[in-house]
Amino acid sequence: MVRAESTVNLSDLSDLDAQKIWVDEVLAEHRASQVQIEQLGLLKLSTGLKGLMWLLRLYVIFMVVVVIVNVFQQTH
Amino acid sequence: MSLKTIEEENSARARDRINVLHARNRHQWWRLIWLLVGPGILVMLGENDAPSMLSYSASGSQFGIGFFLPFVALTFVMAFIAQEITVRLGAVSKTGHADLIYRRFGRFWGNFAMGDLIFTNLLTLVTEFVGIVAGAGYFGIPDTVAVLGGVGIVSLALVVGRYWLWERVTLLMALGNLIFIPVAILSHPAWGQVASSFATWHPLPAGGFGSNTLILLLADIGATITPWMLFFQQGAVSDKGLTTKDVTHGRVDTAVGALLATMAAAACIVATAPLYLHHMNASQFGTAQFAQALTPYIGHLGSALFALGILEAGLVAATTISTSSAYAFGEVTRRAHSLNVPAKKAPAFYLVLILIAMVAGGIVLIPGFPLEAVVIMVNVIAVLTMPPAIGFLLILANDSEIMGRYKSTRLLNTLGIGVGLFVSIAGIIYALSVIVPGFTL
Repeated sequence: MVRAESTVNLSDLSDLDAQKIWVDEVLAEHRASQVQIEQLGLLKLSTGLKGLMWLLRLYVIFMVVVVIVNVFQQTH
Repeated sequence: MSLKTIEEENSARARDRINVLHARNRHQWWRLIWLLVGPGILVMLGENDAPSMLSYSASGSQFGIGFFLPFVALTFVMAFIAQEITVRLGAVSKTGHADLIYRRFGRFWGNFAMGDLIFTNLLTLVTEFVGIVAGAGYFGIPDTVAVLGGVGIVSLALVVGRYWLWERVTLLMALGNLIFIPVAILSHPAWGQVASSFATWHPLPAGGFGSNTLILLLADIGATITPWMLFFQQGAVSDKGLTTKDVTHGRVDTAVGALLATMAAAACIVATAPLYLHHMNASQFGTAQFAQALTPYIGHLGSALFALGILEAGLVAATTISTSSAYAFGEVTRRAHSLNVPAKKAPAFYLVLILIAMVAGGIVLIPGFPLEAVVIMVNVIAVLTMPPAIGFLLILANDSEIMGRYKSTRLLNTLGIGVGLFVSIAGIIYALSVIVPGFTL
């Protein structure tokens, strides 16, 4: 990345599509992140965290029912 | 996704990055800010959408200048806390929110998150088109033409072919949200009272916090914090190509967006306060009625600007919400999903972007569809689906494998959990007000 900052020349911008190597240099951090993300597996969720996620899911389902009741109350 | 498509996307992004590097190397700080701002301002002004402005109008017209002004400012502070996390997530991972959720939590939980997003996005998009139709209707533009125009604006993404250009065009449109500031000035408010309300949070809503006031409170929270914002900003940060070096600028971008959006929202409340002062019952007003009802107090020019503001709010939000849907779709299906890729290389991405807007616009044209009911409840529903979204957000922000040294600090976690608790408790209070007859705070 540091090398890219020092070697890139504004006058060559128009030729960038042809300069694949420059693209690689400028996007070095992006490529590293892509590799890292591709290697990610599933997160190990603790029982407490799983419980919290289920609780939040049930919260949404309950609230959807409440909204339906509320709309019914307002329209009748 | 083909290698050629990836190269095309990266090539376009590399041009933007080179401009950023040059500005940074030459210490051109203002140019650097100009190059790096975008997603934060867009997401905040985009969230000042048609139902949000209607919600602020209802707050101003039913309760005047007082409690709701600082309350709305507080909701934008909370929005900043949530959106700042998406800046870090996007800049570090260089991928979208849906992608991270599916990778780290698996398809089961990912499908839930996507279900919430699609449901709230479609409902919200319908209300954007309600705003577009109402705003255009003030100027005598037929509904069908307004809907087609809205879909046309969303479809601009097809022809620009570059994230950078799309972002600049949409930013220009989004700044139109500030049109509510001159409307507020035209209403000749008591500026001392405006300043006092921010300092004291008074006067409190007349009649206390009953069911209707709580719905309005929840709608105002939903006017600033919604699931699509998380998906949009992380997707846009990633598509723009921001890196870890740009996190500070991403924060500035989001803070400026929050400030501008607060100004526009507060202006909308101030602009509609004359209806409260003149004891007009605005509780059942639709979008268009506000503009007409305000004419005696802000004149025809003010009313026209108000209607234009609603139209603009709908257009910008229709664009950003459609884009957030398309980003999420592309991330989940692992298809090309970038505004840096031309339509022929990412047909599914652009198809979803335009199709969801067309479906929402089409629903608005169905005769007898209960549009006002949807407009009132859409922000409420958005708030109620936020707690799990904030849960995913906070877990991802503390995921060392993704975030490394950019994971949330204790302070940021405390603030984030505070936002999650606030939103959850607000939902529980709303539920109590619906279930328990006569419930008040």
